[in-house]
Amino acid sequence: MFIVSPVKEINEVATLIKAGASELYCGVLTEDYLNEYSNLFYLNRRPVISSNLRSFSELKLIVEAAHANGVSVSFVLNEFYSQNQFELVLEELDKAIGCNIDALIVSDVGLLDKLKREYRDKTRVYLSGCGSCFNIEAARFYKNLGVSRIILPRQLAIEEIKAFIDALPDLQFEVFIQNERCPFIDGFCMFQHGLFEYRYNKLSRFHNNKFVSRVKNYLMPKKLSRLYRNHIVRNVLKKELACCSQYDIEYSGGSSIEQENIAKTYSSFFNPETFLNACGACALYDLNRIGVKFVKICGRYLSRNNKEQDTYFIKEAVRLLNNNLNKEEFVSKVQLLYKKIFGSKCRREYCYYQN
Amino acid sequence: MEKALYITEYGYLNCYNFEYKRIYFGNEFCERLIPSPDELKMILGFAQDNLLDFSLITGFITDGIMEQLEGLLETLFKIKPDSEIIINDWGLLKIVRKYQFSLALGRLLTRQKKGPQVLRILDGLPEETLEYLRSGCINRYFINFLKDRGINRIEVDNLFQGVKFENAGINISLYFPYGYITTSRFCFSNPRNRKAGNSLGIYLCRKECRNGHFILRNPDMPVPLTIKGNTVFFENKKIQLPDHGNMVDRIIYQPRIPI
Repeated sequence: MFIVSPVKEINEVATLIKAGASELYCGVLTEDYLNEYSNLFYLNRRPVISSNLRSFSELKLIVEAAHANGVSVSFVLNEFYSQNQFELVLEELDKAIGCNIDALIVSDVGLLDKLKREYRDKTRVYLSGCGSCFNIEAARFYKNLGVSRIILPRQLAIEEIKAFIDALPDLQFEVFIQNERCPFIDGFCMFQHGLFEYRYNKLSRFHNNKFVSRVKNYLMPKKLSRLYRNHIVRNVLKKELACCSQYDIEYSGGSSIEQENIAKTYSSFFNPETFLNACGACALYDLNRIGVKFVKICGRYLSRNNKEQDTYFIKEAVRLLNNNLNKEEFVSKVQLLYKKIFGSKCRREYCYYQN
Repeated sequence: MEKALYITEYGYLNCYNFEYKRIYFGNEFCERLIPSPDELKMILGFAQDNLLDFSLITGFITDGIMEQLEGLLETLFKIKPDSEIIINDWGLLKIVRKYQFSLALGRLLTRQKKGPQVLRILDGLPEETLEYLRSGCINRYFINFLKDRGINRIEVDNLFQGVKFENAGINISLYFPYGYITTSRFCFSNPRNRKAGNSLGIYLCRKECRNGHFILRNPDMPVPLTIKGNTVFFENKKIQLPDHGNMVDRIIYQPRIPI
């Protein structure tokens, strides 16, 4: 089983490879681009500086470092594009290919079609989870558009994933395993990301002083233990992501005690903590049984420390698969491993795959 | 401008009046709400009695439901082969093309950015960004791709920031007054998603979504949001279309939140 880890800085590469990453993925967002178009005109799904490389020269260095260790690098262009954006995407695409990347992660059908026609021999193409591939016919559709791997959406059950693998043995399938389990379907979610950073950038232009710098360092510290992710939860996500905000909620639809109770407990649905800390390690047993070969760790914005922990944890969990354990024994050992690495017990609400 | 009435249940036909030349029926957001063949026949009977065109609206689907949907298409083809199918899942394209239905691409696949919180910052945005937020993710490669496959219409929502599809090169339908923002397979209305020890998931349901909806308010959100079942909607009663170059030629009225 191969572990696909996020990267956003050159100094993360060696650490992640040592921790167990088999592949890396990343995007680029430059200051110039932000100044010209803002965070709301985005070419990949994470339109914030804290989730991206700052330049294509950095991408080149990352690819070289990864290749020197036999690790491949995928480049994300996983949004859907307007005509104006499409021209910019083609520029980025050529720059990324010039950096010798191994694959592109794409969602836009127009772009997939273009890649099939004109870039067939230049790079491999993977379908992003934003492609929302929920059935085998959709997988065939994307296969005909030239994708060699499909990153399946989060909201598929293990047995549904198995059906893809059984039906299409010549395609690779990748599934999510750690972090960012959104309650909504990524490819169908049309809330904007990047609003918080957009506001922050506007603020920093007018108040380019130590105060703003301190705010930024507080919100995006270099070293952040898993425990302190809650700082991000409280201070950023509730502002950044509409799905993580706190709402006053009322039920409208006649008297239904059951539904009124749902209104009272809505925070268990829009819970940034379960979004951030989601974990599918226990499901590795079943994912391995059905033939999943690639597992993805989310969280491009996370610190090197966090990414290293997540990658190492999944590597150790995958290693347990070789110990001829039954499912119960495997789950029990993975949960102990979680506590050992992250310093706290896992919680059932964090499960990536339905318990 | 063609006017269509979009209903998810037979009972909502009481919202019909002679302004409407077309009926939309079906469900975009939950495969458990796909209509039965009997429901479809009743609606088709009404459409034929009133000389109305008909569009079957379909959603994103998993393999477990594919056969049921194919049965529905078979029924539709026998009764009204000149119908239109709204596709919200690329997996349906090949199946639907076995028949001679006309095809439109649904709003799940046209992907406009819709979070109303953007209204707070519209004034300071660069012109290209603003245009993108009004037009959505439509590029000419995509449009050509659609046309090559016999899809000659796209469906979009009526955004607060306005909609702008100058020279899109394809016919456009505008949904009104409800726009969808996001959807899920995890149902907000399902009490099992609140049970202690359950992670969010896909659980059996009693279609609790049909009983009512939830209204969400937050100071950062300029308008209230509505959740019905698994989907978040906004309501925008004001249609803002540009005077020139507008490709919208169909307005789809939703008398109820379409779940």
